[in-house]
Amino acid sequence: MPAGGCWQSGCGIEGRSVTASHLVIGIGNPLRGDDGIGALLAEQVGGRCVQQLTPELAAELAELEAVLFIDAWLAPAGAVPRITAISPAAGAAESHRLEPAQLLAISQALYGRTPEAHLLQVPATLFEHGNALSAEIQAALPQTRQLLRSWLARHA
Amino acid sequence: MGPDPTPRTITIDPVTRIEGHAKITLHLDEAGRIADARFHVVEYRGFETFCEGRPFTEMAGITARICGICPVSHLLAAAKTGDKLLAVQPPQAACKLRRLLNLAQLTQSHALSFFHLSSPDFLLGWECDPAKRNVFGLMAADPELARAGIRLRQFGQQLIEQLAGRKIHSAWAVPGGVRTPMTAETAAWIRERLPEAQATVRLALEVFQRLLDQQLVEEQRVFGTFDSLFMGLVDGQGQWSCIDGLLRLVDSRGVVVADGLSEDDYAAFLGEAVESWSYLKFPYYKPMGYPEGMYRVGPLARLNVCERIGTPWADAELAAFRTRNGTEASGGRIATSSFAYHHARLVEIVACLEAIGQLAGDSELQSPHVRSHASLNATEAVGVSEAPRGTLFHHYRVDDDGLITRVNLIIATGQNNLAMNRTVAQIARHVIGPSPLAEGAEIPEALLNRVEAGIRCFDPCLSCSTHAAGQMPLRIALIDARGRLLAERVRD
Repeated sequence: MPAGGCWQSGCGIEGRSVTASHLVIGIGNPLRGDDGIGALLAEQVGGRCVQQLTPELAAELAELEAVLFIDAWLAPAGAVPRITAISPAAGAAESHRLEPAQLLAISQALYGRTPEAHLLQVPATLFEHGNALSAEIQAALPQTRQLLRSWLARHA
Repeated sequence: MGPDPTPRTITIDPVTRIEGHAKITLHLDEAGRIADARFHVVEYRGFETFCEGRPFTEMAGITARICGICPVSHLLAAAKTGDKLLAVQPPQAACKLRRLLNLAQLTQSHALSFFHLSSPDFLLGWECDPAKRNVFGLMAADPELARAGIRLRQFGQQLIEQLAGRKIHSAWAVPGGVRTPMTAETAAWIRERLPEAQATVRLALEVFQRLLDQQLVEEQRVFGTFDSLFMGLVDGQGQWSCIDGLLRLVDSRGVVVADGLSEDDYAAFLGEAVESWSYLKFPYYKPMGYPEGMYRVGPLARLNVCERIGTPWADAELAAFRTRNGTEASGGRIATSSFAYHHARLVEIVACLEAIGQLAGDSELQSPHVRSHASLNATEAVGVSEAPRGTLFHHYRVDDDGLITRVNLIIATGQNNLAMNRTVAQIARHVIGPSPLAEGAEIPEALLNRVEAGIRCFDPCLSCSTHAAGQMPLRIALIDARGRLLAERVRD
């Protein structure tokens, strides 16, 4: 894939539907460069694409066994894609800026349970208007795809 | 010792619980009193430039990505602009379906605003620890209300999904109409879920009006209470309209300043000023000049400009709203307090739910004829819709191939810009009082809380254009009356 390739040309994840008890949620705006990586990857696997996390998602999370959030990451130089486990964590919340841990906390508080949750973070650098991905994030896609495949395999 | 003669600026940064990022600066004069307030939008929204060269048929999908909270507003404005570029009249079924989509949009957005953005203030109080005065504090204080608010927002979101196939960024509304009619299953779903939604807003009205009577008396008086114009769409009978109709402006006495205005002529009656310190433009009513032509849009304005809503429960709530908020100068007809936006949102939810119920029983929405087809027949057009936050304009110019050559978007939040600044200044003067701030005086937490809350009355949306984990640009600047930067702190 050429440098700066458009996200619309795909990222090589074989279509694998998530089950009713597991969900992949991609966070970000596909028209703001690398910010759209979460939405791109989630769409490839039949997941959900959201521009931001909002409170009503907590009701859905409470019914899931497992959830994977995918998000662009303003990482330190040299960082690589990573998956980390996340736990519910309340705190100062803005509706526009609900973090995955806060969404889990809402789910726990209102519905009494949360799914097993992970966050796949992809280092990102380009956030200009447009649907082109940066060369850096393109280079990170193979490792990112492997992490995503591994998670899907564990939650088949 | 007299007051410190050095003009100072108090900065609140960032403003939480609104859509997007912004900061507020309060400018003190040489006597230490509030001279001016500015609501700075620090995030550049470059969608207008980005759209140039794109086919106009893509505009719905592009502009819907300006905001993840109210994408439907842009979808509908783009579709209506596309109607005019094709020079077609959508089938009546399509017009009703678009209206149904917008009603669902208003419901979900207003629910988010009231239950999750604003109710923590109302229920927990301004003096509550800011770390708890949020959705988590609300859940602890009243989990049932929090759950009900989520269910109400879900109702709107799920109705959008049932109509359009997706909750956000749907390609269902298109130039000429919509892609698919409503199904019988969706109509049945609406009838099944509507009673719960109506019960929720009834509960919210009871809770909120009790608070208005007991704890929020002062806020109704000083949170942006001033004269201004109000603008919104009304239908042919002067009734509340969320998508079709003509524009009306009224003043604070209830006098109709302008009526029957078409969005096609917006440039004749709306000007857009620019200030050096904000990326938001400052729309104003041209005949009155800038800034005297300040006007407000959104729920408060829509209730002020309409004669009635047109459904029984909503009209009863509108009457109660006017009894509570209407000024003597207007004969009880016009509400001028920006704090009344919160009440107006609840009245609009009532209106939306009643209208949704009516449309669910309208068999025309299941007609297969939902789209008119044509090729490009015009090279310039303007579309308008009422977004949750106010009137939204899309203005496109295209070349002979239908590629965008110029775009102008007048966003609802921008039209409230002047009013938001004035609200902030009024609140600040009230909290601080007539005495000047002495050197070294502590800035009360109450001031910071109330100024932020004043902005939230307008439920502004400053674009959710990016979301990258860990990104939260933060800038605090202290600037004196001569424009000199006295201090600055930046956090990446």
